[in-house]
Amino acid sequence: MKINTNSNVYTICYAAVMVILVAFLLAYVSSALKPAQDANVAIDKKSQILASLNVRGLAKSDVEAKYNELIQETCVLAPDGSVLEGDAFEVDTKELGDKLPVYKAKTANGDDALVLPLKGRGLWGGLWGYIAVTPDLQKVLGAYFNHESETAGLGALIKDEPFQSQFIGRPVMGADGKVALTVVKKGASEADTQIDGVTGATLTSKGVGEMLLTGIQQYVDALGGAKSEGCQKSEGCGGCPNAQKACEGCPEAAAAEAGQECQHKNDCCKSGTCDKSGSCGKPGCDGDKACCGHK
Amino acid sequence: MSQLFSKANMEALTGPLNLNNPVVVQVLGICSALAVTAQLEPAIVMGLSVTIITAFSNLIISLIRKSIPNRIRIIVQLVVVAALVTIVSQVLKAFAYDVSVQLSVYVGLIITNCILMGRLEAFAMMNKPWPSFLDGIGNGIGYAIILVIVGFFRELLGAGTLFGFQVVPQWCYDHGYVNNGMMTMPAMSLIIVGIVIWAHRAYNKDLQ
Repeated sequence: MKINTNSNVYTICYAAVMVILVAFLLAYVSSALKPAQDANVAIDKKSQILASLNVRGLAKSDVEAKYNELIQETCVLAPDGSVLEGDAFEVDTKELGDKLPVYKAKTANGDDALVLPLKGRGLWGGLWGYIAVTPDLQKVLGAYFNHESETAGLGALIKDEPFQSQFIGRPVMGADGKVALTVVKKGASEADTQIDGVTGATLTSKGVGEMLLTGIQQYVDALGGAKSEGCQKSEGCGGCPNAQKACEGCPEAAAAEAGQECQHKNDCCKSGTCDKSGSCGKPGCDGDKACCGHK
Repeated sequence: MSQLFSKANMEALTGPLNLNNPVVVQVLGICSALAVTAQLEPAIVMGLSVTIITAFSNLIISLIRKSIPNRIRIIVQLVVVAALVTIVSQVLKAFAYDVSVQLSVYVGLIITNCILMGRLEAFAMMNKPWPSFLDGIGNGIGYAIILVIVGFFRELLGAGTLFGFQVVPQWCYDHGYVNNGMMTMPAMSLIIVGIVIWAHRAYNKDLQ
């Protein structure tokens, strides 16, 4: 029997059957390859975080082990400093917003660091990056930036090491106590907080600068924020960088009972317990009552 | 066996490599040739991906060519190509993640690569599966060759590396040699393609 391949019924049936077959095929391929793809995405993100800790050029198979070695704790903060539920690693860096993930880690040299994910906008598309700073948020230990679609050979250079290594050792804060770390035109740098931009990529450089200013400020606000809950919980995450200042703002709820463990494991009372007067009971710690939640 | 590699079939395979090259003679597929050739590795992966997709879409379309309703044949071709492209892109993401990040949207854009649609319409719709398959491989490799040539010069002159390995010795930089940043821009690949076409036509007088 000769089928008329030009009839309407045949055409419609043909299209329908073909589409259904292809749909099943693609669904199968997609679900079969999903685990391998997710693993790749996770490894890529981990190697970016490691790059900000100055660990670069690792083979794919070593990334996981190195990441587990260097990253100690993670948490997700709200902009007001309270700790949110959830895994920091699961927060997509390109979709940062009300969730601020923080990674407590060691750099390649063994210094304590906080890795702060950042996101911003470049000339053509999104930018993102990870900046490793000292736990008191004063000094940059390392940085990593990447981009969606900046111009190859110009803006795209921000994802290369020469640009990123300029950040190492730079101060974060300006004289006024606000975040001043930014990117300026090459050669126009006047302070240590101003990093040379990429020649010929003014808008991308500006985007990175803007991302640093607003992004880091968010973390400064969150980590130094004056919320009672925050200053208890965020401790698990590198501690309130300004433990004293943070706790002074805490309401009564934070007042500690005698014998309770110190809430703020800052350098002074890392291991002490609170005595009745509210001091942490260690010699040389006078006046550091804040660590036990007392005003 | 002798039939499988008859003269006509070999012509389908080798023609596109030289005298009927899709890029330098038919000037198809230029868009992706510009975009992914800044380095050699993505150029090769792109060339391979296009080869695989042209070969198999040619094969599939040729197998079902007699059943395809004429009025929706372009749509059928597109669906087949799109399905293959999606599969290739997923496989790359799973097994060659770095390269798939570099190729980004261009793997998806293979769907609109003129070489594919051109071969499906011009060859696979009216030839048997085996010659169609060879034609697909030939055209894919013809495209890949040009990508590799362009990628070779762009990476060598633009970054001084090949496959990411430094080939221009430090000695040259010490004596004032500078990488040509222009080469990393897409526009330069158009100029290199132009030079390749020039050389190719100068050699093959009958194409002029």
